[in-house]
Amino acid sequence: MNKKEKNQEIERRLAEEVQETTPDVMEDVLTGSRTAEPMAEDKIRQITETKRPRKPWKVVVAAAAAVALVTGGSVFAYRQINNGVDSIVQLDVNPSIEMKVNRSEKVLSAEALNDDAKEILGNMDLKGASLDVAMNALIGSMLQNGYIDELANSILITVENKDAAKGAALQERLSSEVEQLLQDGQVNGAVLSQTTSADGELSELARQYGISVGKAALVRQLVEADSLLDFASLAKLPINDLNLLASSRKIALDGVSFTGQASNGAYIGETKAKEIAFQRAGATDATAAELEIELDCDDGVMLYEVEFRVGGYKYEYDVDASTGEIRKEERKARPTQPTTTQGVGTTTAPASDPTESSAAQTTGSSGRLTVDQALNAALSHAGVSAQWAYDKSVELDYDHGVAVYEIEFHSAATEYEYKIDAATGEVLQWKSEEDDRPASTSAGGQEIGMEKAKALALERAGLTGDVRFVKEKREYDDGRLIYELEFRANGMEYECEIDAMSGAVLSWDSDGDD
Amino acid sequence: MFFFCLTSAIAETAAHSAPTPDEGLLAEIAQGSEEALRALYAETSAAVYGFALSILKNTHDAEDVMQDTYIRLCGAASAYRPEGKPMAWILTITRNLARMRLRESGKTVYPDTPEQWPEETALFHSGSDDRLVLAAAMRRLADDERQIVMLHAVSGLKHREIAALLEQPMSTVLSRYHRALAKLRRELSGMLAE
Repeated sequence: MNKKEKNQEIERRLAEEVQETTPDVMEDVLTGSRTAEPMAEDKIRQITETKRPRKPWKVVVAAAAAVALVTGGSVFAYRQINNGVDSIVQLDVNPSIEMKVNRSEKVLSAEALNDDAKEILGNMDLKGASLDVAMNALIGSMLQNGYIDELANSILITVENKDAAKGAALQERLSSEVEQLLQDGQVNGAVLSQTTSADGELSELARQYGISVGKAALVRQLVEADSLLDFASLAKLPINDLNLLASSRKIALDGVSFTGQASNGAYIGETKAKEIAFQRAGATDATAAELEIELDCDDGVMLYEVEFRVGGYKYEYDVDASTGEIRKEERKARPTQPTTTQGVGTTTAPASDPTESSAAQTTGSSGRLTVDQALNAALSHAGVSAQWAYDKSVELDYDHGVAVYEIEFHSAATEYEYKIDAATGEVLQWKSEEDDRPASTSAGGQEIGMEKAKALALERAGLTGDVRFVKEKREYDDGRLIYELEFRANGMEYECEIDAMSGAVLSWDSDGDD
Repeated sequence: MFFFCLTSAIAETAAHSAPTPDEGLLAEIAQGSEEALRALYAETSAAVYGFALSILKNTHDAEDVMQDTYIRLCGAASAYRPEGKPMAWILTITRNLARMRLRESGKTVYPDTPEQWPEETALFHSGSDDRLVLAAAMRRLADDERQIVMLHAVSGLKHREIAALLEQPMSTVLSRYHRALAKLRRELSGMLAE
């Protein structure tokens, strides 16, 4: 036999064996198709059409259960021929659910993309149900399970369809349907909706963070609009928090339609956050100036960043948005412009010297880098891509009269600190250290207090008497409460970090002015 | 009834008893004709079963999927648009159902038991040559290879149609097909000796 004959022989024998061993299921098919067919669709229609109004979700959960029953057995017969996916519809609240839908809007599959979604889907089997029925059931289940209420009311609907116009139409329809469902459920909902098209980077991000492509698209927009936000932290947040962040930080989201308003009922609110910060600083509406309040997120915790100025000091507080706890506080002597002779000609920063002459030019803001540019300069120096940097902070400061951006960020278990010349973008100083400090062991211990910390710092520097602290900061660093201090004396500049519980000096840096 | 396939055997390589169901049957099934369903079933069931088996690798699951394929087909027949490929269309249903079952495979009722596909040597002396070929295909071929060979041998689909059905490039299907047959020739060299 030649090769071809052998191939033919093999295939012939294979076919014969399969023919011979194929079981006969004809009778089961006949009974199956006879009993299943009339039941399935008629039942769904009956339930959905007869009892729609008042409490839609209760009814529809029952309908979904009925669908589950019917499809559960192997005897559900599709009238639908079209098994091809026409649209992909994603529903994000915190539960993330993806449905594939065919041309006649029958659900081909419904997939839970996170654990919350598994709870919502429970043992509903939406396969074969119409998209409307499925949406009704899902929203109902989310209301029932407390994922949507007055405290967190935002829903994101994402539609993907090759035909953009069709996708947009479906988006609009689903959006108003969901709005109606929420109204029926006595919830003032905020519905965000968008269409997406296949995008390799987005799918990759979605996969990496275990979120829907729709949510990934939303998060990517936020991160691109505001370089201090990072993807990893935002990916963990429910849609309501993302919605709140966007509006608090005044980020316009491209291609996302909004109805209603995100509820901040779960949070203390900006006014209360301001009160807490003011009380701590001893400030009042009369004394505080340049007040700025912005929502932020740090490792899944929502915070209000409250910034203001009182006299010669600038204050910054991070107030936990849920509890009102102050998580970070900082008081800094107000940046002073390089006006006097102090400091000029004495820069010892590891920068070559044109900084001094340029310092004089930085009176106008026009010659200064933006926060984004400064951050990018630091990131590219560190070789860290923006996507992988988190806990970013950028502050403008004056160092020996030179305008400097102080930049901090974390990436890959490393903490980076940079000082970037605000005029030239030059890296003046940088430091990176392992990000693995153990969390504070003194869970039940007593905080030593800022004054004690200052005393410890002065002792270490061998100083006594009245020393002006230009920076006093109290913050959690990887779960450990620390004080960060900066002060100047006798032409020297000191920077140190002190453990707030043990009083241990964690880092020490001193820099001669002359 | 299976043997009006002489032409297709010439057209491509060995496509034995390749079913070429009449599209009209689907229209009749849509009207509720049991007779048409029986006719279609008789002609296509081996291809459906073989394909399901090549994906699922166990006879119980394959039988379930075969049954579901025809039940679903009854419901879907009315929407079938004649395009000259009823076999490929039916096998698409089978593919979807089988893949669904694979995805749920944690729940597979009947685990893939090796005993179901005995070593060739055990069969070699039992005189059951055909069974030997099937067992070799089940044991020796990679999943993609087995599906391609099965479709080619049993359903009579062309490589082009197989590529479409399995959502693989034509060139990939061809190279996998040739590699698979090379493996089988080697495995079965004793049987094919002359």
